[in-house]
This record gives sequence, C-alpha cells and structure tokens, in this order.
Amino acid sequence: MSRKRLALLITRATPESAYAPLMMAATAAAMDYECKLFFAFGGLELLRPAPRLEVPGPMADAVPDLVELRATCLEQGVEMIACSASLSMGALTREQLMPEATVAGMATWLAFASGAEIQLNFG
Amino acid sequence: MDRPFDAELDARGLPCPMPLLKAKQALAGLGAGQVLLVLATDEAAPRDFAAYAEATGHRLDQVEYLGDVIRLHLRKRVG
Repeated sequence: MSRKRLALLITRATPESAYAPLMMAATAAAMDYECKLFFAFGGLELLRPAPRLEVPGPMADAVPDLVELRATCLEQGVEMIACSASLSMGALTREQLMPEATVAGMATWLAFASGAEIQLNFG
Repeated sequence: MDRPFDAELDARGLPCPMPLLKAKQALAGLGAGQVLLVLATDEAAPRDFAAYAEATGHRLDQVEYLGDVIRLHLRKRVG
C-alpha cells in the first residue's frame, strides 16, 4: 500500500497558520502519511529556531508548545521546506532558519503537491 | 474495566491531537499484539482513535467511559 501524501503551504506566521498545519502534519505523520510543508513569505518565520509568534491566552492554554510540536513533526519525518524565492526576498536568510529546514523551489513543491491526496494552504 | 493491558498512557487533560501523538510514541515501545490503555478526556478521542486505527492497522478493541475519563484499548498491529 503506497503512502498517502499531505502537502501544506504556509504563507503567514499567525497562530492559526502555525498550529493548524503543524497539528495536521503531526497527526498525518502518525497515520503514516508522507508529509511536506512548504513555508513561503511570512510563513518562513515558523522555521526559525524560536519563532516570534504571539498566541492569545485562551488558545495558548489549549495548544502544545509550538517548537515541541514542530520537533514531533520532524521526528516523524515531516519535511519542512523553505521557499527559495522567499529567502531571496531577504527578510530571513538560510542561516537564520533551523538546521532541519530544507530549501526548495516552486517546481519541487508542485511535483510533490500535484500527487498529494491532501493539499491545503494556510495564509 | 478489568480488561488486561500491557502499558498505560495518561493523556487526561491533553487537547487533540496530543493524546494520539503520545499514543503513537507509546505503541512504538510495545510488541505486536500488545495493548496500550489510553486515558483521555478529549471528547473527540474515540472517533479519532478509531480513524487512526483504521489508517494504521492497529485495532481499537474497546472504548469505555468512566465519568469524564475515556479509556481506550489500543492493540498494536501484528505484522
């Protein structure tokens, strides 16, 4: 049985656009999906070692720590890809991202996303 | 209630999807056919664990409700 694939595009760093895809990816990976997350534009912030993200109180009580959740994803083989075009815009450099992040361009992303059963955008 | 199990995971108070993620980690330490008892308070857990079992080949043997605690018996897949 070939693995199902989950492709998530994250273009902003808000609490919703951070937690929804990471929770989905962690759960999908636990269910043996192959998961790749593509971070572009403001979403790149979520690939920093310590993302700057203000989580409102009621939500903060109900969600796991973002960095721990991200680590859970990585341990399960979720690939987190930084958009090379967004990096070239200069707000963040590769060196400012966590070492586990990979870098790829749009064609790489489309090749994966076009074969994925689930494709969602969080922006 | 007296149904046997091989390991126990206390996931009470944890929101979705944490009970499931922790259960996956706990199952990794068990042998094929062994049973993990998960204690949860997330009301979505029974349906979620059933979907998880369906997707992975593990088996959700039993779900019990004791007050506001849900007891899920998850049997690790064989093979």
